[in-house]
Amino acid sequence: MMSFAFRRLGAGFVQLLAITFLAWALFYLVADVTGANPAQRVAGKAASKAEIRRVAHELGTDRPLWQQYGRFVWKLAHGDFGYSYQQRRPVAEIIYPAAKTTASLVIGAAFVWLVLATIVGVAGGLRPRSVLDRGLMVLVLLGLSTPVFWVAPMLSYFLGYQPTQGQVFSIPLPHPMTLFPIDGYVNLVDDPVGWAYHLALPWLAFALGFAAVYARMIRALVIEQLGEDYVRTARAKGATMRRVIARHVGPNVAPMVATMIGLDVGVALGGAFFVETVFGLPGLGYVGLSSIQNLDYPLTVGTITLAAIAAVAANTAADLAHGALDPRIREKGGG
Amino acid sequence: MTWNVRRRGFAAVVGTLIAAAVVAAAMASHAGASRQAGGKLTILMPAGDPDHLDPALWYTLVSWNIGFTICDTLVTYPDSAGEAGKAIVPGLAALPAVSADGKTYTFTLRKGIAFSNGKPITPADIKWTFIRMLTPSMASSGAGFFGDIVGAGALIAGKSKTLPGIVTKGNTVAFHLVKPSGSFLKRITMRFTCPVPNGTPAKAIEDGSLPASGAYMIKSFTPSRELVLVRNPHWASASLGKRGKVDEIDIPIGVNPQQAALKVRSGSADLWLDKLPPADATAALRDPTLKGRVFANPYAAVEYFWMNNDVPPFNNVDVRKAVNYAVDRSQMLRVWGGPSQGETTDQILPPTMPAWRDYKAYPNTPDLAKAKALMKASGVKTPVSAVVRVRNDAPGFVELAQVLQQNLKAIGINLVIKSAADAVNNGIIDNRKNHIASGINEWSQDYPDPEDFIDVLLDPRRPDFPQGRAHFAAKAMIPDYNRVDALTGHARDVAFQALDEKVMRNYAPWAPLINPIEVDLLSSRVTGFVYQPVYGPDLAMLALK
Repeated sequence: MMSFAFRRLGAGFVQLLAITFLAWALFYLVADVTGANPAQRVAGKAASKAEIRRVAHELGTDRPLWQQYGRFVWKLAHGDFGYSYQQRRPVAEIIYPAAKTTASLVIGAAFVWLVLATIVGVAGGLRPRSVLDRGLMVLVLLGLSTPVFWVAPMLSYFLGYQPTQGQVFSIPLPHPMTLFPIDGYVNLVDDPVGWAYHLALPWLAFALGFAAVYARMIRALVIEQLGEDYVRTARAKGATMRRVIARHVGPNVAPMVATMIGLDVGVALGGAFFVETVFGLPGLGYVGLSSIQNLDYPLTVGTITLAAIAAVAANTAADLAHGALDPRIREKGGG
Repeated sequence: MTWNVRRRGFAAVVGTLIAAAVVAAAMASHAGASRQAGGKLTILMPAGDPDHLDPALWYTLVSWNIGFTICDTLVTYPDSAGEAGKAIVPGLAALPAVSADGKTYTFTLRKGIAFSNGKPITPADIKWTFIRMLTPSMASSGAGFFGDIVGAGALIAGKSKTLPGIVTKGNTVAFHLVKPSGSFLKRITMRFTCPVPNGTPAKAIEDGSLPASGAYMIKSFTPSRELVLVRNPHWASASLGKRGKVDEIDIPIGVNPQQAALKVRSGSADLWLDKLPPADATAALRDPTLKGRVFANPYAAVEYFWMNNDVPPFNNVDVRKAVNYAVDRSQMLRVWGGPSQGETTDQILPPTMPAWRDYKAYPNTPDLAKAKALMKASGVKTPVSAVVRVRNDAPGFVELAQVLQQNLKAIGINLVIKSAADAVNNGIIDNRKNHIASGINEWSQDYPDPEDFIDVLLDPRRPDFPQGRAHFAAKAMIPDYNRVDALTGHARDVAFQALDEKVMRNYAPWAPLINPIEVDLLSSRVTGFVYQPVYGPDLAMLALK
């Protein structure tokens, strides 16, 4: 297992290096080709050519690309993500708080979607093609086909705004009330209750689509496992269905779900932007987009690098978990 | 392994129950919480703002609105709407004495003025504020506006560390200019000139720790999260007028525009510090329950189609005039969001400019007969293709380009729409080697003076200036520009209007399209809304009912 873990961590490090280089190359080289000029952005709309040149010198963007890349790698090796052109402060000061917000959103939402998907998937898998199963699959289809950028504002409107006007889903309430905040974020350490309260709707908005995918997957896996010989044997020996699910089907389904979670957390980091925008969450998605719009390359590359670290870490953790849950993986890997 | 899974399942169930309990408890506690009482406002700020908190660096409408709330400049604008709001009034100093040659402005600081840390604001602070702003290491956007102070050129270029053009003596500060300027007094009101203490390092200070000089000061700042302003106890309100109605202004940052509208309607916030999105603005204006809480005000800006006067087919003046007759400005306004979002225009200067008059050079709806006749007279073979570049990271611009594309097809010009994020777009356009034929842009004022439009965007004396994308180079107009720039006061304002008309009628370097309108929505518990024509909603005048 140790050898497997080391090899997996080594592969993750190589992935990180590659992503970091590609991110740097993408933004600095493409900008160089298109003529997009961060110095002009910083110098302001009324700046003359001489002033733009002066700012470029201050930012270091007038240096050869190889020098800029060398500085970037040297700093990164020392844990320094660089200095934001636009915000004039260290990139780390900007992206670490943003990463905490995005992590709060993604990890919380992953928990919500796993709970929802497990309930729906197991319920449907136990009674395939029943009325309950078909009804749940309709809900799943709805979840799959409803984009998060629509769900998020709808939840905010119906559960955030309408109660303040004495309604919920247009049904009158006895009196106006605040059910959920329309948007906003508070730090976990400052106010754990407020943190969960403010994230309840974002978690739900973010989780619905993923929950639908996972519910289908869990349902299919449960149906498949229930048809296996070992289940029939267990049932023949008198095991209850609850015991079969908990002790036999669950352990066989869990490794696949764990792998999927690892992959999807990386995807979710990118998709978090929509939810962050609607609910005003100051996360990595918002920071990354605004940095691209402002040609703030150090911040863009810093955001991508941090997101890549998170995605690679999630994938690595998923692989390690898969290995722990399924001995065959360790053996194939030589551990 | 099976044991572990069972333990995990149990943990998951317990976790679910705990999470549900936490959320339920939170809902209960927050649902029962009462609104913030006392003199506290909640003003919502869009993502990306404030761009900076260092006065030498901030440069967005929203940041300058905060600047107007927390800082005073030597001279400033009053807390008034409409025309009255554009009159320059004493700030930290009385109105200056101007020398007979118009090159020296001497300001006498008022007595009792102090920073929010209690230290007096002195002439040395004022001088240092300018030196710091113009120092290359600051990379301040403000540097471009003060190059006419004696010695500023060398300082900006890094060849000097002093600024001989600013002389302090006793309680006075004198600014010596290299030549007379009709706009200096307006430029010096810009928020770049908010004073910082003498000796403040010439590097960006973005944590909100710089002392304020206005009615409010920064209490705390959490980047991308929240800015909190409180009344400045050292502000000399007795000498500067009545501002600062509430004790505290909480400003959550990064609010989505649509959510902001909902929050203000619901009463959980008091104002959105940006224009409402078109749909929300229209709905708010039509909603009778919001009467008295919705305000529509034009702001000093223009959306315009610029034509590169160097690149075919727009290097032909008849083609440019034909474009002005062919564009459907009424349709443009509809796709821009309708009458709640702007008014059509065919002029360079917006109606908010002093001495503005409507000269009606080109129609609102297409006059195709005239447009086609001009195309024929131009001698340009049709159909002809041209690129139009627009930003795609803000609503409305691509849609304007699509209408334009349809309009110009009728006169044989096939526009090819190319779009990118604003910053990327600007880089591509400003690279002259790309020979971009045209684009759609918005320009908003830095200070309420026509030169901030005409001398920046359409100056034949410097056709290569980066923002002068039309590369307007009509040499015959140079004497007119020189004559207008030498004037002062009302005569100057009137002359700029005439210059606007002459440029548009004779050369049509642009097709001006829309002057935008800002719609603001106020919560029901707040009163005292003033739309300051230079800085927008005047936060220092808002009060609780």
